[in-house]
Amino acid sequence: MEPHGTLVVKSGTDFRGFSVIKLRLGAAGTRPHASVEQVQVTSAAPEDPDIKAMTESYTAQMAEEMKKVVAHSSVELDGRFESIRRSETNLGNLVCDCIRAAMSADCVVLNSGTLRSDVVHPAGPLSMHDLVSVLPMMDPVYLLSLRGADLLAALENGVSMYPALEGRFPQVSGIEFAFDPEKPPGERVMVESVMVADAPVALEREYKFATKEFLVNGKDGYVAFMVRRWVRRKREGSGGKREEGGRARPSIRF
Amino acid sequence: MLVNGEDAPRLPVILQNYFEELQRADASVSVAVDSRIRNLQVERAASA
Repeated sequence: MEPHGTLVVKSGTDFRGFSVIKLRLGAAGTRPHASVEQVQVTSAAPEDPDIKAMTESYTAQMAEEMKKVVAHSSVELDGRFESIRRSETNLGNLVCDCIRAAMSADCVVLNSGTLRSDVVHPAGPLSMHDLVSVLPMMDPVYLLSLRGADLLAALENGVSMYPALEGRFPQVSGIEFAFDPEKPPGERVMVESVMVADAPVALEREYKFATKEFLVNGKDGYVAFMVRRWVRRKREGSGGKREEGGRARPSIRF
Repeated sequence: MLVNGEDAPRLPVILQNYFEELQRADASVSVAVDSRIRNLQVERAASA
């Protein structure tokens, strides 16, 4: 492709193919000539013994790392989709409570689709493999300043598709609420039941709220999180005080 | 520390750090369902 005069090459996904790009430079000030050859990776390609040895070495190392015990659990942890996408579970509570503590937030909402293991983890040792099966993606977690009214809208979105096994169903920390699935989507959350940080939600109050980047970008219907203000902290050595930021983009640094 | 942008903590690392704290304290994960999300339809069916 050459949109707007810029050559763009996409070689496919998952290492199933690659591209050989050859550039022939011409006289100064002229565009180089480019040629692209796409190569499909198939079993017809001979194995490279050096690469094979390297990948086997890394695979063995990875297998050992995955076996390592990272924690012990005194209770079963429920990560089944049929549970976690329709109700609060203790695995959801664990993950959200960890986020709240780590981010010093008032409250947390996480979409259940984040938690991917789809099993009940038995009581006993939890391995790195268990952790990776629950949270396979390295999601960045952000701290925002969010109005109570926007939080309420987010909760409505979270329960709007119930009883479908929807990844948007929320897991929460620092929040309590009741919802009535017999009411229409958008009217299911009982406003008088919503507690944030142990007090009734105040619709105009700004809460320190943590969630993952996916939801900050409005995915899974969480557009309420796109109306937000960052809570920002200065880098160490510049006071370490938290500041309330204006609307900003994730890439802003200071 | 920035809490947005490239320096934002990663979710699995947050859990890993918590697990390390627990191991240092020789403690176990113990977390319950504590009615933070109540489904009124389920509650009505249970009380019927």
